[in-house]
Amino acid sequence: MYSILTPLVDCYPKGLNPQHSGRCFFLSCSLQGSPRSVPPVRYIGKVLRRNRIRPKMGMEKEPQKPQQVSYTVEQLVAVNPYNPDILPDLENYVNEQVASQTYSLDANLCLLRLYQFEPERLSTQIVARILVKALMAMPAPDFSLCLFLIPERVQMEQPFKTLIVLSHYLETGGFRQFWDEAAKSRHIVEAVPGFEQAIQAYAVHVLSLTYQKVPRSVLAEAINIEGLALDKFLEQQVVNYGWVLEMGQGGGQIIALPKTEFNHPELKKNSGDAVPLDHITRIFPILS
Amino acid sequence: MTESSDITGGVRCLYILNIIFAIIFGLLALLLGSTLLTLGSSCSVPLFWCYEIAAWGLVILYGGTAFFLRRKAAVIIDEGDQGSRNLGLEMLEANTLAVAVTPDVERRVTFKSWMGSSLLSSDDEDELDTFVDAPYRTNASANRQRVYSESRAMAANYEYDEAAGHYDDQAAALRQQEVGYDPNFVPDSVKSFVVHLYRHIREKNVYEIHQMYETSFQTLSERLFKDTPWPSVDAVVHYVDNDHVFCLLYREMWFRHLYARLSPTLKQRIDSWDNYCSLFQVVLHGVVNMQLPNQWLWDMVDEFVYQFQSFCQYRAKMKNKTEQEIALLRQFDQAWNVYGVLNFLQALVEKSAIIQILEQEKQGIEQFTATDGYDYSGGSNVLKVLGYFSMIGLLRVHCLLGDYHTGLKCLHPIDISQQGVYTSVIGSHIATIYHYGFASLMLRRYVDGIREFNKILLYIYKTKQYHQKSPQYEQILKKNEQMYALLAICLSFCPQMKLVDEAVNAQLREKYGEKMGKLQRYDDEAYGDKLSRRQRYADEAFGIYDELFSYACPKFITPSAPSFDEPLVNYNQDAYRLQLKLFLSEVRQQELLVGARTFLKVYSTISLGKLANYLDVDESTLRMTLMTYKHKTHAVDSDGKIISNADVDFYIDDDMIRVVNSKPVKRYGDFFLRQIVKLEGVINDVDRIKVESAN
Repeated sequence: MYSILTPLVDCYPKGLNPQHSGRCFFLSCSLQGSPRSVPPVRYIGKVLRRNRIRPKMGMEKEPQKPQQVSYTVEQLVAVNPYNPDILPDLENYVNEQVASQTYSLDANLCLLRLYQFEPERLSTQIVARILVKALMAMPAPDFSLCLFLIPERVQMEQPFKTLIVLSHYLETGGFRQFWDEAAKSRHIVEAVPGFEQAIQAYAVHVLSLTYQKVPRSVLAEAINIEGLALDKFLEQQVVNYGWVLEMGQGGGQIIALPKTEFNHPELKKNSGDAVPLDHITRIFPILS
Repeated sequence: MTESSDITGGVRCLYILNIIFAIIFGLLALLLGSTLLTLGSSCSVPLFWCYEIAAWGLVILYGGTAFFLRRKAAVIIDEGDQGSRNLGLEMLEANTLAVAVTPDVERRVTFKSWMGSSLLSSDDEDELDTFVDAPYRTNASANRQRVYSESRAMAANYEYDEAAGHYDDQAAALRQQEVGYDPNFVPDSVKSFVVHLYRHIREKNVYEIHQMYETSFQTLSERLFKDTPWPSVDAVVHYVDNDHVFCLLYREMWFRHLYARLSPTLKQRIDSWDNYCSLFQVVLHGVVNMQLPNQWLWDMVDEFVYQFQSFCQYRAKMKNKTEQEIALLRQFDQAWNVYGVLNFLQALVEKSAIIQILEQEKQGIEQFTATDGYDYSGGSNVLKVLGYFSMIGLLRVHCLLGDYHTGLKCLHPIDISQQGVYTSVIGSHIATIYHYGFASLMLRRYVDGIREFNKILLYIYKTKQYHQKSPQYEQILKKNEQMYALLAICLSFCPQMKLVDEAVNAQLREKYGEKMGKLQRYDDEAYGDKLSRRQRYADEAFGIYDELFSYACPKFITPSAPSFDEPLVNYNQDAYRLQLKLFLSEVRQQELLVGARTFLKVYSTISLGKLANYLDVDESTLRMTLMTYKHKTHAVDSDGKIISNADVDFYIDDDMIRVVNSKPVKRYGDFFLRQIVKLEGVINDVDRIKVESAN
């Protein structure tokens, strides 16, 4: 009599566990397969069983399903991120990001999380690449987000120490120091194509926030381009982004940066009185 | 409660005996009494004594049956119109007990649990009082607060490292033995509690369940189980038809009580994990047909995450572990495995399809928030509401791991700018906003953090008094203090005082006014050794940030299992130290900004050279500082846009700094919107009164 309900729990047809869409596939499969190799549920107080909740998922389970669906890494991260078996896929994805100059914060954070759960599988090369990619994503705080997940003793080793120093320089606007340091650690940063351009874009962004008119020397220092290359760069910017070259008092060249609301406060839209639409929608029922 | 008239066999028997004895006694009294009276003084002694003995004997018999009858009446099990006894809390066919949604039921079901356990006594209280010797009604206030105190509340001065002996298995086991705990002894009040709770769950009386859960459970714990666990589930199981699901629920409460009052042994932790597995699997796989109050469902998720956190802390203290414990840990490495915890929460979210439900609610197709998650069409609210609260659980776990971005993503389907099911339970409201605010702080989205902290602190300020009797009162106060500390940090990074309400501001000044002043202090004297003074102030500020952060941060965990081969060390502080270190490096980067801000507030135009002079730095360092200022005050929000949260803004024109005078803008739109909604509410109330009085 003690387990009236257990027959009901265990022997209801599995078909009653509907798989709504492909999305639920992993989880419902994993929980069914969540190897309760000892059926049925006995009294908890009496028997202690190892609960292996670890979902054993991976592409090898695919053959059971009539349709073969291959999931992209993004889908995996969205649907089944707490699964140690996707670790190789995520590592490959990092390499893919590096090669194709794309970036996905969610996938990288997922990988770092898995490394946190299983520190013996941590690969310093992959982590270094993730951090370089995060640096390139500035001004977003991605680099700090990644650091939160990397254990302290790992952060004390190279190349992470260098990367942290580089990040510090970038965060505090120390571009000259940054480029010096980057030159010294070329092997780390040049492993990822597009690094230089990304940092230069960030430098330009910070300068645009701060200056209306910036002296040439400051700009040169920030983007680490001098001489003729700088002239070419400036020409490009003049054409594409509306920069204006002027002559300053000291005789040096002044670059007037495009006007945005950050360096031209008069352009700042007075959003004080604007009421967003979704706030108004809340009172539609009252107004009608 | 006693509205039914059917009674079981044993009681019927007693009842009949009672009547028989009463009749015999009455007849005897009449006959013999009248005989004696007529005989007068000539009655024989044996006859007299016969009468005496018979009379007293019957008195005893009558009294005895009456006494046992009253006792038995307490365990009346209502069978009512239920045919088969096999219908437990889990049924596959349509619920024959479906309660029609009358206004009465609606009143019960929409009971706002934040009202706390008001002493609107339910019948339970009366019932319990009849059995307990001391005929007092427990005053719920002071005693109940201690229920969750020790193990939950962090000490006032941050005590991250608890005494090594606290988690010692043997000590804990000893303590339990000392008090003479007998797991199989079931006091009558517990018996009745269990029986009534079971009945209410079967009948889906959410209001009654809530009363029993909040009030009766705490009362009994306080009165009978101060230092010992509740009776084991095996002892109570036969009072509840051996119902499997009820046993899981009872065990869940059993473990929660254990964690709150005593310190659990490793074996008990593993058993608790096992119980949660079974419970969640039943909810996920079976068709659970019961409605539980939101408070209970939130407590389940909350306790689940809390026990996970506690286990990780426990496991990380390897230094004083015995051989036995290490062997057990090795054997049950799946217990409280981080994958398991995360996957369960994720599964609850997925299986309940709560995200789709919330989406559809926005379009008006579904009703979820409007009914507070309860199901009026005879279904069960358990899976949906557990799924909803699991999103908050995921946010919490991710914050404990240090992954703030993903935590916020998990919370994304819930719109925290509006009321929702998460506000129906004060515990979940506070937990949500606390973790949201903390994650925003670490993501440098200070404005978001300030706004949310402001709202919740104002809410707590206004409604604190209603929760004084609730068992979570201490927790609420503790979180309140922590959130003030976090608000102080956010405001120091981003001094936008206009985002903060008056009441909250006043409280903040009272608690942290002095500290906040020190954080913004740059150089208040014109003479003397400026550099060393500034350095001193900076170091002082650094120390204050350290203190505030340590006080207010969650208890971070290291999720990975320890390697048992390396020498045993305590590494429970590692995660916390890492987060603190990274936070303080952020503080260091923003150190120079204090000086810049001080001067920019004073000047409207100043040349770079002059400002460099005042700050005692060279021009290039000044340029760096100003760029840092701009970078830090222009945060990237969740959509990837840049927003400025600077209070003092400027721009540089070659080598002149021009400071922007921004007038504070009065926001009328928000004010009008709020008043419109309020007026509408008042008109509705007035209309309702008119309608009611018209009836």
